Amino acid sequence: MDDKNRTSRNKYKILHDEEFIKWRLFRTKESEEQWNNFSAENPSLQRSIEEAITQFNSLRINRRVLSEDEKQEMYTSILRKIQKIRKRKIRKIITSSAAILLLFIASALYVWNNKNSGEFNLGDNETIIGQTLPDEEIQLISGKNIIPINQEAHIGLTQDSKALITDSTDNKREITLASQEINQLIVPFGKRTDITLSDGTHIWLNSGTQLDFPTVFTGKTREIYVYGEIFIDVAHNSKIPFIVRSKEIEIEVYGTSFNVSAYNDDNKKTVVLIDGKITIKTEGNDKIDLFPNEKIDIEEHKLLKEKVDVSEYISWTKGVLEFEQTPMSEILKKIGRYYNVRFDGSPDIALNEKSCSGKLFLSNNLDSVLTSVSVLSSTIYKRENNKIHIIKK
Amino acid sequence: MTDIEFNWQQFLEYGDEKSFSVIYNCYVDNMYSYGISMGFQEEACKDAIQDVFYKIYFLRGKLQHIKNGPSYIFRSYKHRLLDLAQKEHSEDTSLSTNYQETPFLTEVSILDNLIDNEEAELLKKKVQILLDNLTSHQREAVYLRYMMELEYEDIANILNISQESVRKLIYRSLEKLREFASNDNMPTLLWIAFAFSFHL
Repeated sequence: MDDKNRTSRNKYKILHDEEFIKWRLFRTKESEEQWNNFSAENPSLQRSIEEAITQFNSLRINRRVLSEDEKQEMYTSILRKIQKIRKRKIRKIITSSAAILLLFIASALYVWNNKNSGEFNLGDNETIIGQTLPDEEIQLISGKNIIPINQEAHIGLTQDSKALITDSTDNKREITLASQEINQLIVPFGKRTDITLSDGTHIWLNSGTQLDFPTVFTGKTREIYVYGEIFIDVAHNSKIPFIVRSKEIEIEVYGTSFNVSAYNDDNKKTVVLIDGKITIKTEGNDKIDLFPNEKIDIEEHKLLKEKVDVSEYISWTKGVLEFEQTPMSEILKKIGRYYNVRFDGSPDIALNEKSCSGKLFLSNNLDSVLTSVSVLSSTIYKRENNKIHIIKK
Repeated sequence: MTDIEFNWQQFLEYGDEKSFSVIYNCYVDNMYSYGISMGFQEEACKDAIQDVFYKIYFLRGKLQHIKNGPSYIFRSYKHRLLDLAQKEHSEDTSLSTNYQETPFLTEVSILDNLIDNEEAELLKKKVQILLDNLTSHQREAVYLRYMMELEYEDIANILNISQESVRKLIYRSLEKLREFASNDNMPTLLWIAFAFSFHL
């Protein structure tokens, strides 16, 4: 019998041997040693053993394979998920490294004064009456161009004077901005939007807010102008301070600090600090430091500082309103801004004093939101066209 | 250092995406088959695989101490599958069967033309009979050892038992197989006889 034949016959015996099979399947330390020894002691069998091992290795248990397409598809979806979360993380990193500030300026735009309440029905003592107002569009004004922006669209500025507008269906539109001009973003009541400036600073604009900003930041400071309510996450750059100006207010950001240098005592201004440190300077050159989770109200030369739960103040950026023992009048004011509804704000109505606590999801449907409010406050909600009635039970 | 060890380290240290994709491509089929073997649905397996990979991507910073990538991946994967099943289970109260009771089944196949058909069939049958005589737990251990080439330490991790228990599990199954082989008249060469015959 020639060598080849013998090797092949021995291989057959080995391959079908119970102990060999167990060795290959279990690969225990002991079996490994035994077979190594056996192989060393029987040099003539080495080739047969090797062949048997090679052949045995083609054995599979529960073999299931995915197609290349399926694998690729899954991998792409993993990466997509990672991208999404990474974006959120980057925002978080900015949050922790630079200062975040909620600037709430109750300017004339915001005051729901009672002076012109004569125009509306006061109703009886038991009913609050509101009125929905006509819809307006968000506008981005750059040079002579007026660009209408959809609700829920995000605007991102690039360093080369372009604005990338992404709407809720992920449609992208690119607009070249006037490079030397100051642009305006005007958000009417009932609408909200957010924008990333050319330096990466992210700003959420609440209803009834106007923001003036340059196409690209040049010079020694980064400056923006605001009326209304914004939530701003300032991109860290210690060399170029960030300045938020408003009608009578100025907040200067050096790295992690803010300075409010001017304000007008006609308006109540509220600043809430989420992260970092800011210094607020009053007209009379008083300096006040604000630390995270602190709020300051500035009204008629009076400064009132207090610790607050910041979530209540920034929840609107996530489409939620949070209330904690908040009077009805305040809740309706916020809802009014959000949905562009005008509520009669007579302080004489006892119902206005009723307070409630809870979370309100600001859906697209005003009716469902006001129904939730009526449940929270044990009132009855009725709507006829643009007229809203909130009635005491 | 094996290729996978290198890539795992590279990924942990630098978040290298190339290494990440190497690891993915190396384990995706194995993970899929393992999930199916445990009795999970195809879609559940695919979901769990994706969940595991994006989880390790984000936990990278916290995984620095984990030297053994495959062990961690398979363990996370199994946990994820069980979690998903639990969730489904609690949602659908009409399901009375417990997912944990699904036995670990094994099906043997032989690849390519390295062995001639007849021989392959015989080997297949032998291995199948051996595996069928093990308990579900033992089959899972053997599967992880043979198919995934995991060490007993890793298997212990995945099965959530001590290393000593895995050894016992394996030795008990070896004993069981010996017993089975001697009781049954399966054509077999016992170790001694086998060694002897070649000494001649």
